[in-house]
Amino acid sequence: MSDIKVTLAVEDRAENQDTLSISEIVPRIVAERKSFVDVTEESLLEEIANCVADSADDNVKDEVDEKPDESPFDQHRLKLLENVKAAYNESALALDFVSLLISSVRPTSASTSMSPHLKTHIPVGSLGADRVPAPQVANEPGVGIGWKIESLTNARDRLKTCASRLRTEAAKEKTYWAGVASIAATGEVLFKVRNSDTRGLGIKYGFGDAGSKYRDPGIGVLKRSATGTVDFEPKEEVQKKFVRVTIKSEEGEVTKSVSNVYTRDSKPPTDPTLAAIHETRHALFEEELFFEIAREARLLTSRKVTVADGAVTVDLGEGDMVVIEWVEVPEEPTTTFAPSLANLFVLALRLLLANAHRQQLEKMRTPPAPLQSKGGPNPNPPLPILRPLLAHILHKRLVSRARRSLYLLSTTHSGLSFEITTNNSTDKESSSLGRLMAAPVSNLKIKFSDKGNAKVVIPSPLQSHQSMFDVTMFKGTSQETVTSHTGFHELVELEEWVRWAADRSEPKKSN
Amino acid sequence: MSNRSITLLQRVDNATEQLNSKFTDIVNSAKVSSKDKSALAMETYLVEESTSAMVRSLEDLLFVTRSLKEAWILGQIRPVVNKPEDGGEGQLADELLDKIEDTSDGVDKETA
Repeated sequence: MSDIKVTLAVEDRAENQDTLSISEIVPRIVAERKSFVDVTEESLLEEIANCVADSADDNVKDEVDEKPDESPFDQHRLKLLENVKAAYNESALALDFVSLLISSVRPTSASTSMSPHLKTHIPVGSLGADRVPAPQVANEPGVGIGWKIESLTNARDRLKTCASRLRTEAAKEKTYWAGVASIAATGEVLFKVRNSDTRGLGIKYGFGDAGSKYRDPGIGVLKRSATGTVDFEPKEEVQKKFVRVTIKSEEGEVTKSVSNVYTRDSKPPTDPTLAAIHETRHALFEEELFFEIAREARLLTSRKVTVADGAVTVDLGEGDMVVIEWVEVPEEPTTTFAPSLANLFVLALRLLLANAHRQQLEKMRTPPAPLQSKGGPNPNPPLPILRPLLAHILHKRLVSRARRSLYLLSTTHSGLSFEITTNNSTDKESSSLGRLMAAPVSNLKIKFSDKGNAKVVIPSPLQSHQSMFDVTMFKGTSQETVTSHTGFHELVELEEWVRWAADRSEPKKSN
Repeated sequence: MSNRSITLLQRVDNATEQLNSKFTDIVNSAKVSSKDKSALAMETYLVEESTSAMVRSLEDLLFVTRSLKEAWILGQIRPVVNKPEDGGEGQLADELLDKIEDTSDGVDKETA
């Protein structure tokens, strides 16, 4: 008994057993008990007695076992089974009905689909059917007219609302396209956007066409607002921040000047959409500027340039520092340009980025270099923004320090004279930024009375492959006979050497 | 004529044709002759359907103007410069050449 209880339809078993026919019960008993040969009266009586005794236990067990099964899933399953049964019943009845109906016309084919119960109780072909003419509906013109009037009124109302809607729509379209036309007239790059979610006009406000390779290509969408005006939406949110330069001295204790200008139009456009586009473009420029500076700063760690706390700090030596940050635009920005040192510094940085863009554009225009099987140079090197400025600043500082120490030496050593010339001549055509883009070079001429003279070349301090001071010593006063050639990496070394050379040329004179 | 203008013209034609035919349908189904209720109900539905179709055609027309404007803004439409009545292609170039010749005449005269 226990293994029979496992089946899904336990509850239905008891009632089913009463309703099942003999032909159904017998195979089931055979399946459960195998053959009837072993069944005796005694064994059956014993089993019934056991069954009665067990049933009391079973009831208790069932209560305990089935309570947790009363989950909504089981309830639904039972309900579903019930419904399936009912549906099966209904369909069987319907099949019987249709079969009986057809049996009057085609007795043989209909009897195959009739249930045995029907066949035995009702004779085949006993149900007939005939067509009944539909009763003539009384023609009511009033109803027809009413319906017609109603539908025509509805149609009129719909067309009216549609017309007014289209009229406002057309007006909105007009303002939208007028706005778009005014934007297009200023030379902005517009293009079609055909995405799944956005359809309309796109605008390219970034610097991609100007040679920028920044990750944000600067693409936005011109949407139509509810009132029909043009709404500008950048694809990627651009933070309204700007690059601020602070120049400090005394190991960062004293702030000498802070830049307060950021990229903006000298005359902001009156159209709000156009103003928003310009503002986003400038913000993107500032973002790229800071990104490029930070990228370049990583290369310059050996030059005392550090990136920390979201700021690039350049240590110029002698306690002077330049801090470059990317900060929020103030609520009330200054509109005038004060020619402070920091403002000029930040202006130079911006010019250098624009120049780098131009150089990249030139590079993109030239045919690409042949592919190399071995890894070529870095395809995306940092742009020269901080380096040209730093090179000139550090160079000038170095030259002035050299001048100072040589002056001190010349006061103690008679016959020692020097002259420093910085190469200011630039190839005007090669760069629109003047000597900023050219590497700084200074020439130092030292005369040791009549005994000899030296030529010292001081190149850009950022060139690591060259010595800081390239010294060539000549005999006599002319620069024909080279006596020695050397290079120094420190100013102290140069000083030592000059002192030694001056001492060598002096004693004879004193004798 | 480019494919694009052909499709646009087709859209305009389709829309106007739809507007006409659907309005005719509405007028036709407006009359009440002695019909049974089901026919009447069908005709009322037809009126409704024709109205929707008309609205859709109107919106289609609006779309045509929108795409025209877009094409114009994006510079995909070239205004007709050399109309046949102006002398067709080459007319402007000829005029330009005439003017250049005039100036060179002037230069000749000046130098002479």
